[in-house]
Amino acid sequence: MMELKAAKNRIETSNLPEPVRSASRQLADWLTNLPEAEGRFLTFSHISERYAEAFKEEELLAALSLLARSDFAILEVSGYLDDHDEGPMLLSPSEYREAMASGVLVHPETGDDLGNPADFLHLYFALRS
Amino acid sequence: MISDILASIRGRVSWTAARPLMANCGVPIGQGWDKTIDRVLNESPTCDFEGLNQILLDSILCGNKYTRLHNLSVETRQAWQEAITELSLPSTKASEAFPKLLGANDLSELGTELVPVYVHHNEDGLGLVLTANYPMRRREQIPLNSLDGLSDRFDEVHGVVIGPVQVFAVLWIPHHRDQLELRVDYPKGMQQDDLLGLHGQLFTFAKSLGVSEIGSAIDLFPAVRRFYDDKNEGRVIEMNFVTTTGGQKNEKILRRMGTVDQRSETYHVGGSNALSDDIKIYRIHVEWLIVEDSSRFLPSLFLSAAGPSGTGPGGNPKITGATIGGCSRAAEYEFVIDKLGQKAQLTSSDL
Repeated sequence: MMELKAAKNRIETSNLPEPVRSASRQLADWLTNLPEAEGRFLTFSHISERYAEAFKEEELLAALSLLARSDFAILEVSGYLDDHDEGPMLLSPSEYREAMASGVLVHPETGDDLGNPADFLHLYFALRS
Repeated sequence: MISDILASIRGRVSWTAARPLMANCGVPIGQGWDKTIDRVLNESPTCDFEGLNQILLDSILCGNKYTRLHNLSVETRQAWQEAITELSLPSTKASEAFPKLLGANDLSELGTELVPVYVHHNEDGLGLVLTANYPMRRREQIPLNSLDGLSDRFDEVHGVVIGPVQVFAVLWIPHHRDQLELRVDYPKGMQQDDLLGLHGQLFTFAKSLGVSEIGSAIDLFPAVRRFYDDKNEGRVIEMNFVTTTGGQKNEKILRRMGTVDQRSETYHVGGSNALSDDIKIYRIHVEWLIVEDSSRFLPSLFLSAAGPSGTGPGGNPKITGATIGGCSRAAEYEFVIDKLGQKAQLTSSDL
């Protein structure tokens, strides 16, 4: 809770362009009131549907990037891939970072090099514990 | 050659499980299998061959198995162990390669009937390992631009490839449980009918040894509800149940979603609490997390009935086999069998 309040303060005092600051503020407000158990798997599609009337996708992405990657981050970002047999297969945040940094996505089960992570991974976010 | 061992491990162990095990044996790990093998070929590291062979042996004995348990008396258990110990195994390409898998040419010559290749002893028990060629059906997407005239009609085209896979079965007699365990590989993609056919082969082979009568497989259905009710026992990652409201539910946790337990997951709890009567569970998948030093092991148990009713006691279904997965070592397999024994409340003569 303290982290969320601190994040909201930092958003208000930032030099962000207004739509992104507004999006960040509204996301932080929503996340503040989200029970921990309901903040484990927040897909970008879920978030963009929720705020479709208020913000453009690029504004939401910028706000989510801030909330996930700044020094006051309240979200963790990761990705999942759609496996034909298993359905969504989640990567851990560290596996996601490794894939994005290297530009190589390795299938967790088969160990096959799937190629560019951007071609396979869907974003998801989770409240930082 | 180390590349042969790694190719065999690749054929049997998931990347996530194999990676730390191989690293412990001195294998330089790259991003994925291909880069790891490249590093090994380029760097010629000094690896623990015995350790790598152990990884392979463990996967053959314990990795992704469908297991049935049959009661034995103390005397017949000992008779089975003596019979296995005294077996004379033919020398074949499969037995000479063991635990490595056969290459493509030799595999195509291996028939689809199980043949014995190895006898294994450890502190848990004694077992006979058998192997066969299984024609695995694999679905692949066909690039539309490789097939004339189809791209106008279809968005996706898929084909089925039938290719041989070497599978293993184990006839296991524990030292400390009066049971006969019949374990067969249950790899992803194996059809249910083929699994039961393979298991039938193992059963027939066991009977042919003429050691003792083999009774019916132990009914494991009673364990299903007990795993659901014991909220401290592992975590449930999938379950199927019906409700008195006419609902048929399959609830599962996203694959690799940390520590979330379906039993306490908010949506499930809310739904269950809305009912005045209990749900009827007939399928459950339980996973455990075992941490040793910096290694994580995720053994799992899947008990599955076709539906909520059957020919078992009280009109319940019977579950005659358990799918035990995620076991990289014998220790995890024994852990799961022990948990199953507790929840199925097998008698003290069985444990």
